[in-house]
Amino acid sequence: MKAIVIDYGLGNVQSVANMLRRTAATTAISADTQLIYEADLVVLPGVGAFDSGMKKLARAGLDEALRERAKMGKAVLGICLGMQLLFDCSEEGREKGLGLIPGDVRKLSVGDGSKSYPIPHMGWSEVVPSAESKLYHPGQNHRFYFVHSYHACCADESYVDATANYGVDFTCGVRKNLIFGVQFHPEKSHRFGLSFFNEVILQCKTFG
Amino acid sequence: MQNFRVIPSLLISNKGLVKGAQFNARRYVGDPINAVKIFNEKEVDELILLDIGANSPGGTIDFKMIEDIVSEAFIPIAYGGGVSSLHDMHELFRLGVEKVVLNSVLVDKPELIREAAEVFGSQAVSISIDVRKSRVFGQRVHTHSGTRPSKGKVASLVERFSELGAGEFIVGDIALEGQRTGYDLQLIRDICAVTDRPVVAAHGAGSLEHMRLARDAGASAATAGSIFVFHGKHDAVLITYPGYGRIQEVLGAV
Repeated sequence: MKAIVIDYGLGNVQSVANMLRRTAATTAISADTQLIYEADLVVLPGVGAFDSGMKKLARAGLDEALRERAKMGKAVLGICLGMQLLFDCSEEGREKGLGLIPGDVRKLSVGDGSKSYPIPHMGWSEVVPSAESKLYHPGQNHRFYFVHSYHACCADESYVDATANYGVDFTCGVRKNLIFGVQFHPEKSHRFGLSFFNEVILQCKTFG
Repeated sequence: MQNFRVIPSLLISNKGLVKGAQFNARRYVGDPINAVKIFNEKEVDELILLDIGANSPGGTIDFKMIEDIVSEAFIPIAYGGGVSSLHDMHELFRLGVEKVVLNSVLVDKPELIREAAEVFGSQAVSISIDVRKSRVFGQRVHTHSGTRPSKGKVASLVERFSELGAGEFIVGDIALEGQRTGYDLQLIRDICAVTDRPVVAAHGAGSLEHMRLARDAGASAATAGSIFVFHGKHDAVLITYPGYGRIQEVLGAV
C-alpha cells in the first residue's frame, strides 16, 4: 500500500505525512506526476485560497494526473482546500475545479448572522456519518478539527458521506467511489484522525 | 453547534519551555518537545507556541525546533515569534503549523495580514493583541513581547486588522499574565464588539470557570499557560489538561 501526499506548494504536507506514517501505508511526499499516477492512494491537502490551489496544481500538471487517476478508479483523498478542489467551482474564486465530484463550494453562512458563530469556523465539531458511510466506526462519537470559511455542496445527495453543524448543517465529508474528501483536518484530529485514515486505507485495499 | 476551544499556550526561549508573569520573571519549566508530546496525548484542542527569543532583536525562527515539535503533534498548532514575511509563513505551514501568530511585525507591516490572508486564507492568520493599561496613555496595544506601545486605540487597530483579513484575535491584558485571577472580561467584550472574527481570551486564567466567563463575554476560545503547567500550592511543574468530559461539563457546547 503506497500513499503519496501531493506537494504542490500549498498545505501542511508534513502533518499529513506524519499521520499517514502511523498507518499501514508506505508514505512519501511528492509532486512527481508519474508517482502520483501510480500510487494506491494520493492525498491532496491544502490550506489557502481556491484559485491559488488550482493554479498551482495546473502549473505542475497535477490536475491532469488527478483526473487521470479518477478515470482509472484510483483513490484520491482531498483534505480541506484539497476537498474543495475536487468540485466543479467555488464562490471563493474563478478557476474551474478538478470536477471529480459534481457540485460547488460555497461560503459558510450561518442563518441569523449570529455573533456566536464567527467565520472562519475554527475548532472541533462532531461529525455525523451518513447511513452508508464506511469511514467512521459505528456507535461512537467522532470529533474532528475544522478551520474553514467555505464548504462543499454536492449536486447529488448520494455523494454526501458526513455532515457537521455550525449553526447550520453542512457537508463535511464526500465520497464518490474511491474519491474521498473531508473539510476537516484528520491529520490534526489525533485518535479520531488516525482511525479515519485507517478506514480510508481499508477502503482502498478492499476496492482499489 | 459550536465548541469552545481550550488552548494551552507555551512560551519558548532558547529552546526551553518557560513560564512568565506580566511578560517578565520568566522561569524555565522544561523541554518543549516533551511538553508537546504530553499535550498531544491529552488530546488538547489546540496549542499555541510562542518563541519569545525569535521575537527579540536579532532573533530568528528556529525552524528545526518547530519541525521537531510539530512532528510530535497530531493537533492544531499556532506558532508566533519572529514571523515577518510570507516566506516565513510558507515554511511554517509546510512544516505542519496551522496558524501563524503575528504581533511585532504589524507595527511596520500591517499589510502583511492582507498578503497572508490572500495566499494562505485568513483562517491561518492569528493576531495577538497584548494590551497594557496606563493612567497616562490609557489602553495601548503593545508589541515586541510587550515592550513597545503602538499608536492608536485598541478598538480601531482591531477593526483595521479585521478589514485586512485577520482570522482571529488572541486578546489579553499583559498585567494579568500568570496571575490566575481571571481574564480581562471588559477587554474581551470591547474587542468582540468591533470584530466578527473569533476572539481567544488570553492572560490570567486560573480555572475553567474563568474560561466560561470569557465565553460568556463573547470569546470563542481561551488560552492559558500556568494552569496547565503548574500544579499544587508550590507550583510544581506538572503538565495537566482537563479531559473532554470535564470541559464539556463546564464549557459545554453552546
